[in-house]
Amino acid sequence: MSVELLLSAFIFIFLCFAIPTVMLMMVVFGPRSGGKAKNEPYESGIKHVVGMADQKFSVKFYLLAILFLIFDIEAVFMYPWAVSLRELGVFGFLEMVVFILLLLTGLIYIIKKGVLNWR
Amino acid sequence: MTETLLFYGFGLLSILGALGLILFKHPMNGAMSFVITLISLACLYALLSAKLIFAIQLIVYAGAIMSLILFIIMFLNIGESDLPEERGRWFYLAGGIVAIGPIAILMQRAFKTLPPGETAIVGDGFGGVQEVGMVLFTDWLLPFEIVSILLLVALVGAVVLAGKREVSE
Repeated sequence: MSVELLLSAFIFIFLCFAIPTVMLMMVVFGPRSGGKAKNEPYESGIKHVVGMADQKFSVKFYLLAILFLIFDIEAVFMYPWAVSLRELGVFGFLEMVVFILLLLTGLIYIIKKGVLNWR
Repeated sequence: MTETLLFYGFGLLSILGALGLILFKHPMNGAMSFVITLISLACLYALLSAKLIFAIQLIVYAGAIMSLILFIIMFLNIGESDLPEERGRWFYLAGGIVAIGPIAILMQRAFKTLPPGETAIVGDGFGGVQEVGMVLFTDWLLPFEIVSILLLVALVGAVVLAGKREVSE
């Protein structure tokens, strides 16, 4: 195992324990002050703030996430292909061309369908 | 030695993340601790020298599927007031542990009966990115190309189900 991998693994473990600990410390030891005047929302002199911060959320975000997932899986298949491309030669290249062309028709379909247009 | 240490570290982290997933009250906190479980599992795969699975776990699960889960949480738009009271949750958790306990003991016994020779570490090249690529693009060529058709069907299905309706303004 390389030194860099080992160090990054330990840094990850350390962060996973350190960040919650710091958050807990802030809650336990941090200064706190409350009161009616402080908890009141104040927005540039407007006394009554209209609406909540969490508004309605368009379904398009979710559709974009699904499309991202699909093209992400395509990218995952490219990873072992790119590593062993030299051994595979021209035939392996053509395999990936077929794979990408099939998914490219999907991309053209969603562009023609206007899914990526934000309206 | 360091491998054992790392194994225990990541194992502990994955268990803690899974515990956080079921113990945190707000779904967003649960999702964030689930990310820790996913990344720790990826690191455990890396310790088993399954490098491709490590990369896929990070790219697909911790990246794409996690963003899907986060979008669902944003959709449902759960405020502090929407969360249920959950009065007897510790009682129910204890009941669940009592129910699962026998299964865990059974699993451990089954694990103990495995002969030690069966769990030998496979060769150095197994699970590497290049080895998987060579097998995938020579022996498993047709399934690989069928995967692209499957992805295409999923794409068209997602667009038809979620993106068809025109918004009338």
